[in-house]
Amino acid sequence: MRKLTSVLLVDDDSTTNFLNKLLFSRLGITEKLIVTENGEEALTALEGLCSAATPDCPNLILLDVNMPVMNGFEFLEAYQQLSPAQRQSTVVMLLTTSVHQRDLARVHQLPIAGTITKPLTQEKLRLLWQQHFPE
Amino acid sequence: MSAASPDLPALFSIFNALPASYLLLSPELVIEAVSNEYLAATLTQRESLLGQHMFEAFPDNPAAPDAHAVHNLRASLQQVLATGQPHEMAPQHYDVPDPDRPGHFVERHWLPRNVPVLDDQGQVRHIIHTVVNITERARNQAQLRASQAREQAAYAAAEVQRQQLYQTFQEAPAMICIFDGPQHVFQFVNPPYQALVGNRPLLGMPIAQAMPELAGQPIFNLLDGVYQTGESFHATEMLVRLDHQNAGPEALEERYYNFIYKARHSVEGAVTGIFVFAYDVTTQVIARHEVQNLNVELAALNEELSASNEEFLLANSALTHAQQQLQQLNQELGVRVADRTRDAQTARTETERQRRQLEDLFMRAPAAICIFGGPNWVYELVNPYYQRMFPGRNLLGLPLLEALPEVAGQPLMAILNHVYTTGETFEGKEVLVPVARTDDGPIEDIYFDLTYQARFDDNGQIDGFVTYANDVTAQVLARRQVQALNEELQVTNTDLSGANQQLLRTNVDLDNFIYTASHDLKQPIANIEGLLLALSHELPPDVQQTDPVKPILDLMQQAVERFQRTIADLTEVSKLQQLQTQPAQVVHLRQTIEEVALDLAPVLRATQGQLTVEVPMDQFVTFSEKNLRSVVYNLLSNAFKYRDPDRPLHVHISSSIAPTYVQLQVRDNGLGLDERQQSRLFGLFQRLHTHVEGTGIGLYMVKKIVENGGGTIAVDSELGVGSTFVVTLPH
Repeated sequence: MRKLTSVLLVDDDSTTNFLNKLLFSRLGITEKLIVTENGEEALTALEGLCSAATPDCPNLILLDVNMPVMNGFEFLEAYQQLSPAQRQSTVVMLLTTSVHQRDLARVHQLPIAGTITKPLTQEKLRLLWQQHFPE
Repeated sequence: MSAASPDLPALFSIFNALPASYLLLSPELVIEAVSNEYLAATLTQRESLLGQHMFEAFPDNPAAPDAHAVHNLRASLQQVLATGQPHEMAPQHYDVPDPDRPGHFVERHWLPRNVPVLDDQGQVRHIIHTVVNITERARNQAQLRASQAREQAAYAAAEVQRQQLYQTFQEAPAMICIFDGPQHVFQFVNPPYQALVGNRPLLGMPIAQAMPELAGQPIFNLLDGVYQTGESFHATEMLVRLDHQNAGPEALEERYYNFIYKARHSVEGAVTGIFVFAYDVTTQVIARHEVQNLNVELAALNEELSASNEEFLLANSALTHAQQQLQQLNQELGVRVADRTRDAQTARTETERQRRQLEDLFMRAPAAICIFGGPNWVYELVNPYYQRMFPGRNLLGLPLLEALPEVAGQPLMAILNHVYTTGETFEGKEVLVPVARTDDGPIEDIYFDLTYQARFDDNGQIDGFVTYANDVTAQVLARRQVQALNEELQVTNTDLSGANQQLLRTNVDLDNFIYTASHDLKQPIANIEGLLLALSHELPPDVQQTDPVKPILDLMQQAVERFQRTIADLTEVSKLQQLQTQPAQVVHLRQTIEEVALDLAPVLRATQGQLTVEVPMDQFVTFSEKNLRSVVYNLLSNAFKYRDPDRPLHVHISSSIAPTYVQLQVRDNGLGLDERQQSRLFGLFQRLHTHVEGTGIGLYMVKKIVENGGGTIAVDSELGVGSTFVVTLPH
């Protein structure tokens, strides 16, 4: 699996963050792992990291849905307003417990590359890399 | 005078003895001689007359100034003196002084004749005044005239009665007409009858020509029948279709009538025409259809109506005969002087009879009728129908306000005042009159259909009014009750609608709760799963395989999976909401069963069991196909799952059909359930067996689906023998 320069985790659950940080460090597939706890923090981070073309602008965002302050859907709506330069070629994956039927239609209209059901595992990441970050 | 003059005394004695009434007058009208008969006829004595001036002896009777007795006789005598010709006078009324009562006169009528006695030169020397006493004849003539006048008055009274009767016909709230001849030519129609066909002309026209739309309806045949047989015909609620608005043959309106056809007869007894008396009972007929409870009452009313109508007509016919008789009588009276007194008496009797018949007509009329007379509106006539509305209350002879004091100040009084002062007829529907039915009774709200019609005396002055009243309280109340019920229903509907809304909201809330709960539960279980996975990675592979690390890890993994399945089931339950709204369609039952059996074939093979299907190929049910599949799937998979390991499984599906439902039976020879288990069978998350995988949600969903589709599900089971599930679906 190719090593990315930067990955952004957006999740308010500390256990999830702990497990995901553990997984990424064990697999060693990113230079930098940035963790934010809600959509607003993520937006602020992105503004800092992606305003100029820097290696710190994340290649991949793993986004939780249910979060305080600004949830995943709200984040994506704001994210859509960013300039293409700021968005660059970032891949956004929705990381959820499950997709409820009523949210399905909404998910299809979002600017995301796909969804991953929690918990995140080595196998799921391998499939993701195959699809979006091939060797 | 010559010496050969007759012997004057002898002449006088001859004159005196003349066998008639004679008077000899001088040209100065002095009485010179008088016959004995004249003295007797004038009640006088010769001594007092001789030498008297005619008009001093016989002055005018001041009590009879119209006789002009002196004037007329003087004129005749002077004419004789002037012309020398005899003069015959017309009969004279010339009373003579009463010798017994000075200043009084005795009635005398005379036929006088004055004849001159001329001398040789043709000069009038004397006048012979001769009279015939016709006092007796004159008196008889006067009596005859008086009698004729009385008869005339009786006739006039009868005519007034006839007019009143005619007016009653004209203004009666019923349809009345008279046909003449075999072609049934309209001879009389009253306004209600005319209103049947708007302004189309009727009078003088045969009915077949005036009402051509009746062709093909029973009316013409009925009229012909009555005309030919003379027998009356009664119709009750007969449907007659007429073009009331003259809008053309397509616009015939259907209305119902009660009517009587009654033959009219000539004096000789031959049928000359037909009397028609009809009531429009459409409202009653429709009202009866609407309010079944009024049926009996209405039928009785109709019967009464028919009976009264017939009596009405009979009375009328009798009245007509009586009038004819009266007219003949009157004619005869003119010539039959000898019978005059008796005839006059008869005429009075007839008039009285007519009055009674008219009254009788009111008394028997099938509507409440009363007549108020005079400025105080005294009840002059109260017919039984009217009295029946106020049982036990005294009305007759009392002024309205004394009889029914509670009506004082009511709007009704203004209406009555208007009718009484203007003579305009008032007609009102469902007029509210709060009155007491009995003297001690409470004031009730009573509704009347009312007609007030002014009554006029001979001089055309209003002297009272006739009231036609129909108590329609029952109808009004019945209609209001229906309205109230409707309103109540509306309220109930609104309530139900509200409850429905509430339930819908509750459902949405529940759905939201399950959505949130399942998410909140999924997050920690996902974490535990992740942590377990991370832990496995951290443990050296050999340690992972040692006891008790391996069973602990396995059990933890199982617990996590179990937890996840429960959460998934919760989500399924929330999906029931969507299942309920599946649209029903016509589903081929056998095909559905076979498709499900095909899906479950691997499971069935694993059990080595047998499935038999006994459902006709042409069996259809109306149900959501997806839901029906779900029901069959759950029942079959349950049968496979809970089989008895000690005997080969046999599952049998059969169906039966009834007019209103289709029944589906799934019978197995599996483990079976005891009664306690059966009572919990359809509950949510009820798992009765632990040895096989199950979530405790399948039968809960089956029951919900079936019941939401208007069906039922029942189980008949015996522990160790097997179970039969019976699903009944509406057909």
